[in-house]
Amino acid sequence: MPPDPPTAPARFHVVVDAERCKGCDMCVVVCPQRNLRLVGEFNRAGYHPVEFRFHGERGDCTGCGLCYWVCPDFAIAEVGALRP
Amino acid sequence: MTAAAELYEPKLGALPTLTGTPTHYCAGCEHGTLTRLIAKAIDELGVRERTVMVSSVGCSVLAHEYLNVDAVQAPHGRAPAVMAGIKRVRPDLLTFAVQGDGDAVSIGLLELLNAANRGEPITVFLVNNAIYGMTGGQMAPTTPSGMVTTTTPAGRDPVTTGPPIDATRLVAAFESPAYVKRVFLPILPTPSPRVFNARGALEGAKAVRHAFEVQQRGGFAFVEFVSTCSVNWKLGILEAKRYAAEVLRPLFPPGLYRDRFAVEGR
Repeated sequence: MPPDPPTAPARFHVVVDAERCKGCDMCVVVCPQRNLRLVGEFNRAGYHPVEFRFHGERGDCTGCGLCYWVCPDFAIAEVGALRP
Repeated sequence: MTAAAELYEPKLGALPTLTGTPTHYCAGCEHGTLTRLIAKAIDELGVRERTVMVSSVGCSVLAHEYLNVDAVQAPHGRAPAVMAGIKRVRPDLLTFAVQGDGDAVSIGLLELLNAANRGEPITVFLVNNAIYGMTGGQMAPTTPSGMVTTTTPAGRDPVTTGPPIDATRLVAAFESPAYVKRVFLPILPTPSPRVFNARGALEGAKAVRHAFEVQQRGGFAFVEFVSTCSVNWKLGILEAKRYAAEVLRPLFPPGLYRDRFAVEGR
């Protein structure tokens, strides 16, 4: 996945609470655009948390919210749409 | 992150019914998924101040830590009886229980079936992960034949322990229940190894909401959520989802078994 460019954010944004994440991988495999991935660093609980990228392997986040609904730890805290 | 967050308006976000306590469930457990679905339904219906959760025994007991509603702890398996009492004294309240399969289908089967037969206006959510999760992976009544557990090290033998019990069909066998549904809650594998389908969670969200609506209309609502327990199945999280899709889904087929008030499709 290429790194996010410093400007020009996508239409949707997912807020991840990395300290709650248990690295279960479920949001990663349900994301249709592959905007989420597990990082190499540990969180305080010792899990590899998930991180959100604006530009996924298959395109930008569409704000579908599937990651929000499957997350068992409320670590996908928010799905936001770009303010007009 | 914070600078980016200001640009965005939350579409899905914090729910007033969730307390914010981090969950104690194992990674990838459907109990957490269901907790958010219940919180969402309570918020949408605006009934948080009138909701009483009856805690069962098992991993599901932890839900009172996460849901910002009043809660009563029932003796093991007796949640439907406690809910029936609450509703007979205070019919204006909404009451529900999240029961595990060890709680509802083993020790509490009698309470569940009699409450269903009486058609009590209560809502029972059954999380069926086919094993006793909290106590360390013993065989449950719902364990599929051949599954290795700590009490069936050679696999469950239907000759000595009988075949798995299908709670949804048992409840649907009575005339009185108004809403009986089974949902396959785990993410569903697709032919591609790293692509899963999240339909179960979306169907679960609707089923939870419908189950509450049926109770408000005076009917008994029962929803079984087929789930996973990767730790006690001794599988990886995604391997457990695949096992659930291959073994549990045909054994406990999802579907609508009763909808007397026709709440689905409205």
